[in-house]
This record gives sequence, C-alpha cells and structure tokens, in this order.
Amino acid sequence: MEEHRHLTVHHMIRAIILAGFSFYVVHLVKIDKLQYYIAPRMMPYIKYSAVAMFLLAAYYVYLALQSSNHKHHHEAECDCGHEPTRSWPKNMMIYSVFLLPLLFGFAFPDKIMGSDAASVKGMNLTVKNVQQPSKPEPIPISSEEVTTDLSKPETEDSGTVTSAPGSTSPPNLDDLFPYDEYSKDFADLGKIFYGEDVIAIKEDGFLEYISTIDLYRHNFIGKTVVISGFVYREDDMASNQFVVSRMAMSCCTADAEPYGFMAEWNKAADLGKDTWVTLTGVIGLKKYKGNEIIVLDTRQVTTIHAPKDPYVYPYFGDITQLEKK
Amino acid sequence: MNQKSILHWRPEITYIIAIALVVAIGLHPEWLSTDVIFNSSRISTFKTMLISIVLETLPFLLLGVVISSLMHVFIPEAWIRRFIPKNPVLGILIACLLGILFPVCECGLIPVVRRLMAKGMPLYTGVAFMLAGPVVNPVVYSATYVAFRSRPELVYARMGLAVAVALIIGLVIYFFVKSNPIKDTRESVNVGSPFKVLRVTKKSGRFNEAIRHAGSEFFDMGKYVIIGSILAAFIQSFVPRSELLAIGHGEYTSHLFMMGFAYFLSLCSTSDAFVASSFLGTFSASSLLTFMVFGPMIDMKGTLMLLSVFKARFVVLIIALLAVIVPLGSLLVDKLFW
Repeated sequence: MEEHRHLTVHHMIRAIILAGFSFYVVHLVKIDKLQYYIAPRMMPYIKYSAVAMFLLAAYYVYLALQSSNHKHHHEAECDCGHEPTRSWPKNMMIYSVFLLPLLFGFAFPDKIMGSDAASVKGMNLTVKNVQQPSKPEPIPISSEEVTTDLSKPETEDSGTVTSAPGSTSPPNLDDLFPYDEYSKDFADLGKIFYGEDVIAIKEDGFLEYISTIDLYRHNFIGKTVVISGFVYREDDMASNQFVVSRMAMSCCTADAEPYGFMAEWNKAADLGKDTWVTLTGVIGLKKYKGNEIIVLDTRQVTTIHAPKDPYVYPYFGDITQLEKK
Repeated sequence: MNQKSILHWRPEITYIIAIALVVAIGLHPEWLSTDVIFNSSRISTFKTMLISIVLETLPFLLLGVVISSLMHVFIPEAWIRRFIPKNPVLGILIACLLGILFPVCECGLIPVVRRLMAKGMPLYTGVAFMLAGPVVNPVVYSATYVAFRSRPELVYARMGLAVAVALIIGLVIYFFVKSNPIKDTRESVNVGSPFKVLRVTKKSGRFNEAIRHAGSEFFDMGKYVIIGSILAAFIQSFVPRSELLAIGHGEYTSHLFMMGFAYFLSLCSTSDAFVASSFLGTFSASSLLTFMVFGPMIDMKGTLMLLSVFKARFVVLIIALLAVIVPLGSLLVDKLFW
C-alpha cells in the first residue's frame, strides 16, 4: 500500500513537471517569444519535444491513477533500478532542480539579449573569421597575390581615413577584390556592393554582409551604409561613439555572439543603451583597441521598434543571391 | 492511518501545493508585480541563457532516452555483441562511424551508450562511441563548415582528430582497464537480473515498459543536464569573457585555456563552432581545434552524467586522458599539416 502511494506521488509530480515544460514552450510560442531563446531552425525540435513531454505527462497521470487503484500489482515492476529513492530530502532536491528553470521561465520577463549579454560576451567589431586576403592598393596596378596569413590586419593608419579610392580609369574589380577559393563568395558579393551607391544591410545574411564589407573595407571607404541594430557602448568609447549591433545566434543563446559597426554621431548621447535604431552612415576607418575597424560617419538615425525576431543567423545559402532580390 | 503514514503524507502534499502555486503564478504573472527586483540585468541574461540551454537540450535528451528505452525493451541481450568485430581497432572505428547514425548531442548519447553496453557492447567500444559520437556526425559537420566557411581545414581536422582521440582512448581502455567501471548503484542497469523472467511479454506490455523506462531515464539524466545548464548559464552571464581572454594566449597555455573554457561553457557540439569562430583572430587555429574536440567530448553537463553511470575513478581517467591527448593532437596537426 505504502509502496503504491509513494509511487503515485512520484508519478503525479513527474506529470506536473513534464506538463509544466510542455506548457512553457506552448506559452512562449503563443506570446511569440520562442525566438528569444531558440534559433528558428531549431524551433521545430523544441515543439516536438513539447508534444512528447505532454504525452509523457499524460502517461504519468495514467500511471498515477493505476497505481492508486492497486490494479497493477501483477505487472512486474521494471527491475532496472529506476525506482525513485525513498529519501525525502533527496527527492525534494531532485525535483527542485527541474522546477528551477520553470520558475525562472515563468517568473522572469522575456528579454531580448542586448548590451548586457554583449558586454559579457565581448563585442565583435571586426569580422575575423574570414581569411584576410592581402590588402589591395587604393589605385590598383596589377593583380595581387592572395596571402594565407592570418595575422591581424596591418595597422598603418592612425585616425580616420576618409579618402575614397579614386582613379581616373575604372578600377578592375578583380584586383580590388582578391580572393582565394574560400572567400570567393564574399568577393562576389563585394563586387556587387561596389557598384551600389547605398548598401542596405539586410537581416537575412547580416553576418555575411558585414563580413564582406569588413573584409574589403578599403574598397568601401566613402560608401553609404544603412544598418539596423541596438545601441551598445563600451566604457572606453568616446561620448560620440557607439556600436550598432545585432546578436548573431547559431542554435541557442549560449552560442550567440554580438557583431556590429561602430558609429560616430554628435547626438549620440541622446541614444540610450539598447535603443533600436536604423542608422545611415558613411564608411570610414579607425584604429580601436589595436585593430583597424570600420567606423560609420552618421548621417541619419531613426529609432525603431525591436524587430519580432531580434537576432540574426548564419546564412546557409548562396550569399550572392542576397543582393539580387 | 498510522502515525508513520501521516508524516509521510504531509510534506508531499505541501510539495504538490507548492508546485501548483508555481504553475498558477505562471498563468497569472501579474501577481508578481515586483518588476523592479526581477529586472536586474545580469539575472535577466542568466534567465535567458538558462531557458535557452535547457530548451535546446530537451529534444536531444528525450531522443536519447527514447532510443535507449526502446533498445532496452526490444533488443535482446547480447545481440549487439554479435555485430561488433573482435578486433578492437575495427570495433572502435565502427563505433566512431555509429556517430553518423546518431546525431544526438552528448546529453542524449550517454543513456544510449549505457544501454548498448548493457546489451553487450564492450566498454572500450562504448566509450569510443560516446567520445566520437557528438563530433562525428553530419549536423556538427555542417555547423562547423558554416562557421568556418573559409577555413575548411579546421572542419576536417576536427573530424579526424575526434576519431583519432576516440581510437587512442578506446585502445587504452581495451588494454588497461580490466575491472568493470560501471557503477553498481541502483541506478545502473542490472544485467542478467533474475527478475527478467517476470517481464510481460505482450507487445503492449513491452511498449508500456519502454515508456516508463524513458520517463525514469529522463528524470535520472535530466537532473544532471539541468544542473550542468544552470552552471553553464551562470558562467555565461556572470563572468565577462574579456577577463578570461586575458589569461591564455601563449602557444601552449592557450590550449589549456581553451579546454577549461570548453568545459565550463558546456556548449552543444552543434553550436560550439560558432563560438569558436569568433575567436579566430585572437587564438591560434590549433587551440580552437582543441576547443572543438575537447568540448563535445567532456564538459560540466557530461561529467555529471558520466558520474551517474561510471565510477568516479573511471571518469577521472577519461578526463585526464582527454586533457592530455586532445591538445597534443591539435599541436601535432598544427605542426604536421598546417
């Protein structure tokens, strides 16, 4: 008798916990905030597991009812050592572990990861995960050789460079965008950018856009760029400096990394931390913390609402198609 | 009702009431109007990390316990033994390739391996599978490929090194580990238990048993997964990375750092490539390789789960072997191939 009642309670608690998780996922989907935690490509799996947990919870309710009816005593208990322990404190601790995420989930508000997460993770102002081909001359003379050196870009500039690569004869695009077999996609996209007056950075392929611009940054000096993101500041930035950034996520927030461009604006102080803006600016270069990075000379700022899906994701398709739309 | 059962019941009822309260508050969050307390930024980040990590693990954990339970009920004893070749090297290589069939992250893999070993898979093969599985599968391959689009040598090196490490450790176990390291607590699987004859043989009875098993295993393993997630979320939200980065930059210390980093971050093998790629400018490629091979093989969550299956001494052995072989392997790859 004792045994059955003991098991019944365990079955009920487990049912409640499983149902709790299942409802939590449903709740997030209903308030359209699941994307705050999970990348879209992973969402189906989370939804399937919500269904599975609900079914398992229902099963536990069934078991609880069964064991409280004492009907199952002829069925052999599973003998593999999975019976829950008899120790009270142990059980409380174990189930508390499961309740903790649920508690946090329901009790705390759903917030978009912004400057706080970015300051812990470290902002990426220059995209280093693409191999840097050797920098072309501002006025291309002959084709460059591509080096496979991964050392930091040469820091020959100090201060902001604003001169555009000018030449009387039309520059040879292949010379401006040297590539090896791995950065060809970026080179192709870069060539498309080169022909545009204004580069609008889209959400789809955000990372690839800024990688391309950063990789061939010397070619884009003087070009206008439109970028949307949240405002982020580091302590040692000047009062007219901030970063327009987006959190890039691969599958969940634990792997999210913030990426963005630094911007300078005389009215920067008006923008609070984590304000969402669309910023139009002209590309220039600057040395910051030992790296040469892109800095946008701001022309226009519009505050916007945070998008429904505030994060950006790696683009799995052909990136040159992004600009052809 | 005697005295004993009253005492036995009351705390349980209180407990259930407490759970019900949580659910009720969840449905009516306006009852918790103290927005001020809950707005602390780090706590917010912690909550986001925790929920994200836990939610992301759930599908894999569920998949792992379901597969494990189905195997427990439907696959006869010692069936697996017939399929594993006697030759240890061959056996381990096959185990590594099994990872391609089971693209489950380590949380789902450990219950499966435990079950396989109960069904006759030798220890060294099981461990090799457990180590290589989280890395050598198509999901991780494509995730690494996308993160390191321009450095495919890192993708190939990751796969190759994982197989090599699994092979070496598997062989070490084959030759040197003679006693059975599986914990004989009540939680471990009882092989050849006399109660097996009582097992219900009807199809529906076996199916029922599979589900019960899955549920039990979910809670057994799940508690370690969640504890590990809490720790990882804590580190992710409260320890600024810049302070960690200041530490390990030397040619050899960077490997040490990367191992510790991978261990404490406890990232899923499908997404650690993304994090690693953000370090390309600051860390050597070979130390990133260490990060991407060591991390999926062992981390906080994994250690907890292993400790529930194996004796502590064995777990320590595995960790020690990994901590030595993985960086050595990465450095070798760096010197020889790059």
